[in-house]
Amino acid sequence: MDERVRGTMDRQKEEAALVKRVSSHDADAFNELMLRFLPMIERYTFRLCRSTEITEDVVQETFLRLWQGADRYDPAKATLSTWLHRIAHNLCMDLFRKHQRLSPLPDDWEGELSDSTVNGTDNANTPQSAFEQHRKTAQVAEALDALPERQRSVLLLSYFQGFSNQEIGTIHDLSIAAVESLLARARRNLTKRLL
Amino acid sequence: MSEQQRLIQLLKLYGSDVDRWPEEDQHLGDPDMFDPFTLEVWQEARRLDQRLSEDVIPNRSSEMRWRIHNLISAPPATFTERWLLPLTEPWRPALVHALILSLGLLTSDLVQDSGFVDSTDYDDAIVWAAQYLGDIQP
Repeated sequence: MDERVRGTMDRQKEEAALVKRVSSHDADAFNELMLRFLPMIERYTFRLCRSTEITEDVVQETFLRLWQGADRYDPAKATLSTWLHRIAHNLCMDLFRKHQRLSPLPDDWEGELSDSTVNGTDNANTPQSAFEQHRKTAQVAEALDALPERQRSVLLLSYFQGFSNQEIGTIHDLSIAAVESLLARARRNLTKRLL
Repeated sequence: MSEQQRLIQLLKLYGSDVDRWPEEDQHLGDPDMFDPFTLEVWQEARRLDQRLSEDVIPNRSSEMRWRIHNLISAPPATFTERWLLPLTEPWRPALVHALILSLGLLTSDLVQDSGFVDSTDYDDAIVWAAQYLGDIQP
């Protein structure tokens, strides 16, 4: 068996074991899973809703559901990462429906940018470069926000979160062909807007 | 599907970074081997990837992890705290109203069972008053 495949399977087995421990309210196992998955759920949620406040609520609720309902997770059906992304996605969609549309960028965006960042290098040493970075980020954020919800989510899951098309299909209940079609349309739309 | 068609499909789906392509297709991703048309598609995909990498987002993971950890470590809420005080969930006021309504219906049944006869007749009223005062036997 391929070394990488074996590594992935071992990791999934280990995660399933951790989830089992979480179902009996083992806080250490839960913390370990938060360390592994919280940053990626945070990134996905933030890019989906572009609101710090909503991201915090969704991430918190996602992990509380893991804590309270770990026994509902079935490793045979999906990886833990897929399962958590699906929960976060559904929570975001519920909030979208509740609030209709969320603001593209939070008011305190510029302040947050000077804090530690997740992607790219934080080279905002001068006000000018900070402004330039802010402007570029805002343009990309705006282009992503302008995508229809499914295109946006599929692109985020594929490009930023690194999921395979099959895993994205599991999260969205879509066929692989449908995922590919959404992905191609999303990139086409972004090319029109950003290049 | 020819190799070139597949290559263009990969560029349009996953972008120019070969590491993002399915493993079985990664051997196709050498730009030195591309024909001019594929090279153009690859360059466009690369420009888009560069733009997407400019999407810098805040990181509050450790704060959030700490907050969630505190939440799960808190002692479990009492029955009153959990069900009666936070009437913010939309279904909770509905539950309270349903309980009040059920209580009302139940009480109304009890009143009927007590034999009370509802009447607006004038003569009936005189008879009930007389019965109450003990002037006549029921």
